[in-house]
Parts: sequence; C-alpha cells; structure tokens
Amino acid sequence: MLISTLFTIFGTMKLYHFTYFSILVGLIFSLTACVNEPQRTNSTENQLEENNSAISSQESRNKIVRIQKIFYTLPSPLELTYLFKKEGIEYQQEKLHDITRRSDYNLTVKKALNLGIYGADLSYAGLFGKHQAAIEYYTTTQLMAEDLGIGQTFQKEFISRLEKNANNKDTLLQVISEFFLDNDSYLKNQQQQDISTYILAGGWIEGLYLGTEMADTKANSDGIREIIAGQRFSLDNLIILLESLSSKEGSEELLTAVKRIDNHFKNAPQTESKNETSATKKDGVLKINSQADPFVLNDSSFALIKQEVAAIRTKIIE
Amino acid sequence: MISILYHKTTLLVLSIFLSIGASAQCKGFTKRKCLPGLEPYLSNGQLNAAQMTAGQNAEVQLTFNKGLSYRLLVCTDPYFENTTYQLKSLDDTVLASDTIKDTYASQDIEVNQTQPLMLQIQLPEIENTNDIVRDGCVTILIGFKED
Repeated sequence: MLISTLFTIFGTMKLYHFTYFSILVGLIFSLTACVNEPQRTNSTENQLEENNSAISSQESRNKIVRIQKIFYTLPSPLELTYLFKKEGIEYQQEKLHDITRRSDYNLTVKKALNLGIYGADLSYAGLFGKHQAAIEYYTTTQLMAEDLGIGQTFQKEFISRLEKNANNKDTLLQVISEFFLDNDSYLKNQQQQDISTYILAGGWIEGLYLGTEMADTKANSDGIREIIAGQRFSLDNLIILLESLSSKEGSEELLTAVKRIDNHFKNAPQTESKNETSATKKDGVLKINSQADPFVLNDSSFALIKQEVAAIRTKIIE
Repeated sequence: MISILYHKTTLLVLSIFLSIGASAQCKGFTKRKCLPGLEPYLSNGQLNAAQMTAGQNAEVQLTFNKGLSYRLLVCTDPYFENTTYQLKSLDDTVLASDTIKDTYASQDIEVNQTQPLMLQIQLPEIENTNDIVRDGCVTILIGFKED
C-alpha cells in the first residue's frame, strides 16, 4: 500500500517536489544508517493495551491508549556476592563452575543459563580480588556471549584493561558491571528478552547456590539466611519473567523447580509482625524503615531451599 | 489531491523513521546522559528502558537489600521535563517523590530490612502543536555499593 502510494506520487509529482522528497527520504535513511542499531523494544514490558508510537492525524492521536510498562528486575550476581561477602563467606574456587565445560552446551537455553552461571562466578572471583580467576571467567563469559550472538566481538581491550589494573578491584568490578549492562542492553535492543531472562535466571541461581553452599563455613549463618530469605521477593519477579517467555520450550522444568523454591519460602515459619514502612532523609539519603521483624530461615527451610537450589544448578550445568 | 497525499505520505514515512531512529538511540542516550549519574555506584547490570510518549506511565518493582546503599536513577528525554515519580512501599505508602527538571533525578536509598518497593513514573501530558506524536527514551537504572 505504502509502496504503491509512493509510486503514484513519484509518477505525478513535479520536479521540485521530487527533489524535496528525495532529499527527505535520503536524509532519513542516512540518519537511520548512522545509528546502525536495531529498533529497541523494552524486554520486560507488559504492554497492556496496544499503541502506535507514531500517529499522524488528530483523529488517531485521540485514540492513543495509555500504556503501562512494567519492568521486573533481579539482583545482579555482583549484588548478591557483596551481601554474602559482608556476612563473612570466603572464596572457594572449587565451588565455581568449571570453565572447561563452556563448550559442552549446544542449546541456546543451556548456553544462556550457563552464561548466567559463569557471570555469577566472575562476580564472585572479581569481588574477592582473584584477578587471574576473574580474567579466566571474563574470557569464558565473553566467548559464550559471542557464541550466543550477543553481538559484541571479543573485546580484548577489556581483558587488557583488567590485566593493567591487576591490583585495582574497583576497576575490575566496574568492567564486570559494564559487561553485564552491555549484554543486557544489547539483548533487549535485539528483542531477545528470552535470552536475557535465562541469563538473569542462571546468575540468580548461581548467586544463591554460592551463598547457600558457603553458609556452612565460618560465615555468619544467620546473616546469610536472612539474605536468602530476602530473595523471596526477587523470586516473585523471576517467576513472572519465566512465565512471560515467548517460547516456553526448555523452560517448564526450570519454572517448576523455581516454583518449588517459592513454596519452601511460603511454607517457612515467619513471625507475624507490623508491616508499616516509613522514610526519613538524612544527608541526602532516604532511610527506609520497615517495622517488620527480620525473616531468618529456620534449619529445615534453609536445608530444603539449599537442596532445591543445588538440584536446579546441577540440572543447568549437566 | 496528489499534493495532500504526498504531504501525508512524507509525514507518515517521517514519523516511522523518526520513531525507529529515536528508539535505536535509546541505548546511546542512556550511556551518555544517564549512566554517568550512577557513579560511584555500580550498575545492577539491567537496563530498564523504553520509548514512551507523553502521558504514559511505567512501573518497576525493585528489591532493596539491607546492608547495601542504592542509587535509583530515573532518566528521561529532555522533551519529558516535569516527569514525576513516586517510590512506594507495597502497602502504598509514598516514601519519596520527585520531578525531573533536567535529564534525570536520582535518589540514594538505604533500608533497614530487605524489602520490595514500587517505583511509579508518570510522563507529563504535552500539548502537541503538529501532527506527529513524539516519543522519547525513559530509563530506570539501579546502582549499589557497600554501606
């Protein structure tokens, strides 16, 4: 329709109109080509009602319906590792996923989940200042990302940036953080929300796995159990993300297992307490105070969750 | 007749390509205009961004963990100046609100208990003087660091 209309116009317009039109179209194509990126769609949005983003008449404009976009987020593996480290967990290389297994995964879902797992291991190594391990995991995650077509060719400059700043943990963490953001941004830009969700899921599972595994060591067990209990909120978001995958193939088992963790959280005994929340500002920082009692998992709930997380992780890496 | 058709067609083509162009530039906009506002906090690695039009709203559910300091950053195309946001607890208590006057507004946050909060963003209604409804980038970023 549009093309036939254009032909009609080309066939009848005067020369100056044609010139103007050509310049206009040429300019538009040039601008678009300069951007050289695909159209972004927001990966985690729920489009409750249909809408067009560009509408060219008053009549159509009046028909614009309101979109409510809802985003769901998960804590990054780096964030979880920070929390666990504060409670005294120690670095245990043997708990991390073996980097030589990288090439074992052929299915996209498996690759994405394991990229999430390696990403969490990278965060863990980075936060503990284990530079050699971090570089190895960084290399592994980059190669896997490339294998998944995430579009960033292997970035040697990042590796050399890491090597040059071998004693600078802040730079290392900054690079890791940028890497996650770039990947997520690229995937959402490419309308590859499913892959983004699997990577997030793998990272979250590995973060939880490392935390539950290390609660048995010298770390503050109660503190770790409280962090894990706090993950029940993120779990709600993960379930929504997994349920909203455009292709469910390969995800049913994961979703069922994640829901089992959710049930363990729901069945865990918790004291009834006030649920009031207030906020005050001090030195520009908003301090949010909840009256609720801290929720610390008891032994049996913790054991069930730990077991379930380990089982999911084993399934992912097998 | 042809002239009107020609005018409308060019307008339509222009609208479509401007929309695609604007959308594609969201990533660049976020990197240039929004991310610097997050420093010295580390990004949580997730980009929540969308092309939106005036009057629309967005929500994001966030979990804030006890023991970390957070920076919440709401960043919009300058066209959406006066975008407002509210941070609410799950019982609908408004804990913070702000209006974006330049490109972004940020809020540093600490919690005494790990808890989920809801961020609601409302884009302003903007009177249109031409036939094209303009959209623009809206980005929500979360950064964190140790207390």
